[in-house]
Amino acid sequence: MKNLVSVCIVIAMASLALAYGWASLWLGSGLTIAAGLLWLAGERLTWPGWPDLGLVALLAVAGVGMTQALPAGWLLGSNVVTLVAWDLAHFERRLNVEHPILEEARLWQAHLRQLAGVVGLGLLLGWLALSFETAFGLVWAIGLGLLAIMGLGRLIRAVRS
Amino acid sequence: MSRRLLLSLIIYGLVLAGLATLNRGLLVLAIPLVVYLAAALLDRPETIQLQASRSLSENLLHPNQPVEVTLTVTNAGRSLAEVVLTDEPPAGTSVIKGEIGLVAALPAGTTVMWRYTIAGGRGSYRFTGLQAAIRDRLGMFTIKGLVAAPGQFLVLPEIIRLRRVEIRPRQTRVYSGQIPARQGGAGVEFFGVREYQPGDPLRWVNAAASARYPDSLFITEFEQERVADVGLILDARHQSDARGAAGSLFEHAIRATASLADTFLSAGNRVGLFIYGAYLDWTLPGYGKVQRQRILQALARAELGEGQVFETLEHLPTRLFPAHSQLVLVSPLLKEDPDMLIRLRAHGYRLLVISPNPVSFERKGMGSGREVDLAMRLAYLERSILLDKLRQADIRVVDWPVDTPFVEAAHATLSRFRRL
Repeated sequence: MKNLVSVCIVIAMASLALAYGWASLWLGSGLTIAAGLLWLAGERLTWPGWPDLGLVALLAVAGVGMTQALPAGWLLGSNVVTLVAWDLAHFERRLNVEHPILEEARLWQAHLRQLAGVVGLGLLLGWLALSFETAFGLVWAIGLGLLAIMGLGRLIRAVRS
Repeated sequence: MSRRLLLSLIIYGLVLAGLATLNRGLLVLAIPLVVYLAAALLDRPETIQLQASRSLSENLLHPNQPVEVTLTVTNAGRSLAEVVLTDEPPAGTSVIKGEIGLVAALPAGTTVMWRYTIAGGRGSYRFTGLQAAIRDRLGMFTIKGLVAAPGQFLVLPEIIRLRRVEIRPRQTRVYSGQIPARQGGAGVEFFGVREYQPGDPLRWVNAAASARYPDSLFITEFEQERVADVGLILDARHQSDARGAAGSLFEHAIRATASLADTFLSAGNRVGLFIYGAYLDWTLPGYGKVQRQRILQALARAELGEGQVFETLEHLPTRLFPAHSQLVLVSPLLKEDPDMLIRLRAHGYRLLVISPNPVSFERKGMGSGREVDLAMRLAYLERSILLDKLRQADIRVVDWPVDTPFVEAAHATLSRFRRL
């Protein structure tokens, strides 16, 4: 299962690097590969906190890529694979630290099923959002902004509790 | 940082960046993360609906005898994706075999069972329950709680078999035993000579005495041997204990008390136990194996205690002990104790004091030096004076340095009764 995490990291890194390379933004490619390799090393050596750093790094690279008008579909795809890698890295660490596992295969199957469903839905909604042509105007911005503020309030309450 | 918080911050970062730059692509990048968080939120566990039960292979054990703990947990609620169950072995025990917890997925109505083995020293051990941590399928939300699974086991103190402990209380009971009863009849020890009465066994005829008086016949009387009442008193006062590198003096006292109880009960005597500490713990006198178990269980539960009322032996409830019976006190002794003990002796009780030596016990943990040596000499002198005071009051005292096995100290001093 460690290999599954590494494979996901490599796919995310490769797709982002290719997207940057397609737009001849070699600095971006280099940074993506560096971030991906560091995350891989962190996984091999089980450094604490590396999955979170890897997620932030690759998502940040994808975000910057979006502002550089790189292929949105590729960036979305790499985003999803990065999320999968982060989730599986944490899942594996949780299981290794705790007690013996009863029916480990069943645990993994249940987790992978749930993850596949969530990721699939996220990818579908993202693809629909990309396909939905509309002007992102002030009304949309205000509406989303209000949603963001309400959500932020709930988040702060949850963190405090 | 928790994963929920990290993901929320990333989502907000992307949304705010998207709003600030009016870039729809950044908002689209946040969608899979939002779906992930929403799925975890919908799947989050709310209450712990687990039922646990525990069984132990033994409830009464000897020191360091292993006990196997079997735990059974049933999911009485909805399916659980990830459950981490961790038992809490009582303090003072160590796990010898197996694991105290496990991780499992528990569909609704299913049961898991696992075992592990622990061992511990003398004492009473209680289990309250096990810790359960339940997570959603993505591991974002966790609820924790205690699932009740009570259990208890007692580790009895070690018993050292003693050969014989001679006691001579003034009063004995009616059943035959090993204690001279100060009455003539069937026995082993010579008691006296009296005139023959019809019905006396002819083998008791004393030929030498009868030869002097041709007209009369005399027989030899033997001293009857009977059982007696023995009251064991264990000093559990905190202030009388001494602690060293080898542990506590109290544990030695408990082992000695258990051994004495076993010896007296094996000889057929009626034995009661009184633990004098923070509170009074009284095991009613009895005979035989059942009483032995009662006393051992009381000793297994014994703990040092501190209480202002029972600081000295003044409040020892003597009415619990039959008049003129044998009392055996196991105590390191404090300066104020001799007065009460002498008073008990004056009331007719026969007293035997087994005193684990606190001075030699603490000496081992101290360094060397002139001051230490001087202090030790003074402590030894004080103790000698205290013990001599008791001996002068016709109280038998066994000064026991606990690095000597109790069986040796007991055999040297207690195997024969010597009148002081």
